[in-house]
Amino acid sequence: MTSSNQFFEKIQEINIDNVTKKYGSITAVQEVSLDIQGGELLILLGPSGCGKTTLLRMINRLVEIDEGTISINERDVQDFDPVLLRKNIGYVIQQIGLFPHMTVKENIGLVPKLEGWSEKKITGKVRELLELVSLPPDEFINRRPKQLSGGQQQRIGLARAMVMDSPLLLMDEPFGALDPILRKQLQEEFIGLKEKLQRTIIFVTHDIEEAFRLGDRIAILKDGQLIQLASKNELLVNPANDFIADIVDSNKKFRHLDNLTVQDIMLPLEEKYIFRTNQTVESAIKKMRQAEIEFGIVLEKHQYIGTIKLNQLYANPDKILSKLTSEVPVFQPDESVTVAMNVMKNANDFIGVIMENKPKGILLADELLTKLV
Amino acid sequence: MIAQVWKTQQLTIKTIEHLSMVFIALLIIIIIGVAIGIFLYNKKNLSDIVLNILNVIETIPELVLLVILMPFFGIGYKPTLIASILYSILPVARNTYVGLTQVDRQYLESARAMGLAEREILWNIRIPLALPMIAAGIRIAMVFTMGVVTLGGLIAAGGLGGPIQTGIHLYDRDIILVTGLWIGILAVLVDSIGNWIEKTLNRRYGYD
Repeated sequence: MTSSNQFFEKIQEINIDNVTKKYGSITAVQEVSLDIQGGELLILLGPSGCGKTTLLRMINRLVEIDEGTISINERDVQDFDPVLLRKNIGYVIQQIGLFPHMTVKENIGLVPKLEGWSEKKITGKVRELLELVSLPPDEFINRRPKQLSGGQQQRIGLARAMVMDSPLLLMDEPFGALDPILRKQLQEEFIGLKEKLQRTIIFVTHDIEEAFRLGDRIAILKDGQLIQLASKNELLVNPANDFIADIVDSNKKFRHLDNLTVQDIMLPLEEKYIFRTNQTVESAIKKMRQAEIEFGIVLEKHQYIGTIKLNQLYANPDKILSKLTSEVPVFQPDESVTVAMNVMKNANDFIGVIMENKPKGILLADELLTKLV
Repeated sequence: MIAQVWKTQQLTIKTIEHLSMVFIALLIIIIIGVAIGIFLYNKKNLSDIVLNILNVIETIPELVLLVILMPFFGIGYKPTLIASILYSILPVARNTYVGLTQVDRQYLESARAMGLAEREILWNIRIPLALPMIAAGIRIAMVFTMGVVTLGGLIAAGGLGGPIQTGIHLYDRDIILVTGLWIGILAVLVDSIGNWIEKTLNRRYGYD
């Protein structure tokens, strides 16, 4: 982007001041005020229809504000040309919206191309971004969206949102449509990215677990109103009202924490997650793509060997499957959740395997539980 | 029999004449039809009016349309060309319009969010994604145009309609049969080319 078109180098703060949006007689957002600090990841959390997406879309003016103001670095968004404003703000949606008639490179490089970048500069930038979202550039740069799995498409969507190096990213349930294990993997990947990039991110979700994993602070909305904006600990310790207490303490899970065993909260092991040592890497990649997963458990006969991840397979196409496995924590079905969460926390792992002679289920680190133990 | 009819009726030259008329008519139809579709895609009210007018024109029987045009444009090539254009603009304009307006919301949404201006969205997203639909409209126009141009033989437009006329006047079964079948074969050929183009575009720009 030419410097004259770059509105902000860095986000100092974003102020949402008394903002209201009505659709006819329905009030989507009602007198919401909140401040976002530069460099933080703020979560907008709430049930569907609570106005979180509308609020997000008012920041880049996909939705116009009825009352109140939103300003970025103390400049009112109404003062910007909306098209230029959006070029300065990255945006990722759940449906991703990769253009089906364009390759990965054309998708990511569309805005740079319209901005008049040279072909060489675009290719360089696209390759750099593909590396960043862990997709080998040579393998992916010329593919079309329909040749990509859901997780790969979402990574491209993220890369596309970052192509103009905008310091602000808006994300609307980007991982919402993915399989639970893949969602967890992408969340972890995204945390790494976030550290690397140091952007200001506003992230909409209805998944409390995701909110606690990714967010620095969490704003909880209900019926168009802001109920509470607080850090994670504060929400747990000091919920503003019963609604919040209810959200953060989904009773069934936490009331009897001490009695809970891992098999109560594990995901049963589905056939699609099982791989065999005598499989080629190529066939394993194919299987993962068809099943829309990026994680698997490797067995030899019925013996558990280890786990594999899709991006490791891409990086080592010539090796054999049993050489690419990694270790994750292993638990017995009747082990207590408290212990298991502690083990995973200390090992810095987010996936565990539950074994009873043979693999029986998959345990995902639960952010809320981890906080409580 | 075939060889004789072919020679006496100069079917080679008539075929060239016929196809060139179809080709010129189609070219004009595509330009005008696509232009109308693009002009209308963001004007809901106007589009209803314009597409309805074109619809009315299309309900006029081909023969009547030719006759109506004769007082203004005389006989021969000109009224035939105009009739085929009037007759076939609707499928192209309508399909262009529908193709442009029915692009999936998620693509428009992400294009807008990336900071594409309305014009850039039109050229980079809407038109490419509408191409299969536009091609389907052009294919319909091809078939219509073949028909109208053949009918133009009645008013001395040249092309393969001429020999058919001659055959009818002389009550010469051979001429009617050979020319008629040949026109049929040509129509099928032209349509299958259209089909192939449509399929190719669908593979390249189609949704799934």
